[in-house]
Amino acid sequence: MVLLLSRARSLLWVARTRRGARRRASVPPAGAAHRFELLPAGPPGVYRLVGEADIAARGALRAGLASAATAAGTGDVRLDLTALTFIDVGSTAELVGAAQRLGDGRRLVLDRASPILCRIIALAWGKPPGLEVRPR
Amino acid sequence: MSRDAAAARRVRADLFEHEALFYNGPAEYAAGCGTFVRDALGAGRPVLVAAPQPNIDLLGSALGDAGSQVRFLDMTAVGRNPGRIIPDVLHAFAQEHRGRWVSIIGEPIWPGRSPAEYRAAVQHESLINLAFAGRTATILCPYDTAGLVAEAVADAERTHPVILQGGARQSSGPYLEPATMLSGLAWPPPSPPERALTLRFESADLRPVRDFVRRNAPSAGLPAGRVVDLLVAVNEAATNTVTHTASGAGSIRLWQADGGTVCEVRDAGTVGDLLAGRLPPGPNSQRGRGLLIINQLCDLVETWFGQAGTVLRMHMRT
Repeated sequence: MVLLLSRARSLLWVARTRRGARRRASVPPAGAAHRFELLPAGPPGVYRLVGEADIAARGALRAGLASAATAAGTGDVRLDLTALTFIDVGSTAELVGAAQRLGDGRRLVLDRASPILCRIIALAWGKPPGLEVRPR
Repeated sequence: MSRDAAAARRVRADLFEHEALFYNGPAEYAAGCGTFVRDALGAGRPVLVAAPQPNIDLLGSALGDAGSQVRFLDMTAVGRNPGRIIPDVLHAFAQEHRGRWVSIIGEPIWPGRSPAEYRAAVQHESLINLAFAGRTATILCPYDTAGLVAEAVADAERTHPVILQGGARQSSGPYLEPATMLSGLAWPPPSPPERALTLRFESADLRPVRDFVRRNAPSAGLPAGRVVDLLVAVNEAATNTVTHTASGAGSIRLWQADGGTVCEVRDAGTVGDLLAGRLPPGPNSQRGRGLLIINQLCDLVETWFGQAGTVLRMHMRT
């Protein structure tokens, strides 16, 4: 069913492209592989961020961070960012805010943060409290 | 800002001094800027000079030993993108010396600025009045009347409440409030070239927008190492469209230009806060950082705020 839907969407895309202007760029439909997820990574307090965190994923990120903070009890929260292929400034603000809310000396650790994420955090927040950034 | 804070800002709006110095030749530059710096140092104020390097050298030798108490920054480096000057240079210096009156020479406009840079620098000059209203600061902006075209001098009269020329100080008749000045700057923007690639977007799911940039930026001349910068910048601009327009729809155009890659995001929204992206939001604010980051990641950001909509044109130099 999912396959059929996806195929139908591709066909629609082709139709739209053909109808579109000559100069219109080729853009594939957004693939399901990019959808954002926050998943438990196994050990307690450790999670994986997967896909692309943009404004459409903001609610899922916020809720995921809140439950991760609760589930970690009094411990740190660690996020493995290996499979995070994009994060926007607003989602980065969610990470900074979640780190701050942990309090009591607890940390939000970003493991394998991309160079651009490290740069955005430094540019917009400097060294935010409670956040530990470990670059890729 | 609360109503009280806004009212307090209005009442204290006359504290801030923003003056243009019209000079003709090195001797007038050294005399006009030299007097400004010596007076400020005499009053015990922190002094910053952000100007093109040749003028820093000129002023440095005119000041002699007094120059060691002045912070100098090459404006052609820190102010190449005029959108970064308020947050990175002016506001940063004022914050560093919070509670004290700061005196700053800021020279963002010089002969040889590209037309796009020039336009952004005029917007910047106008927005200084808004960004610093009510703050204890004096900013002096030297204009080279011999080297600049008459239009640039006329613009300076519209963006500075006070003009200094030949030792005389007078209020500027043509001065315009920033909102009036900015809305008067040419609309519509020049058309993108025919060859520009186009994408319309209309949902909060911005994956098609990012796919468009990833796929097409390299062939528009952007080196692989800078694609991620443009990707983040365009995504932030499109996020603003999704957040701040009724329809959430906009369009993106991408093309290769002389010396770089240009990408614009256009929508039907109007900008509420003219200072968005110019002043860093508070540490706990969840909003207002998008435009700040766009200005950091791009080499130049042109903005058009019109009744018909908003255009953000992001330039990446290659």
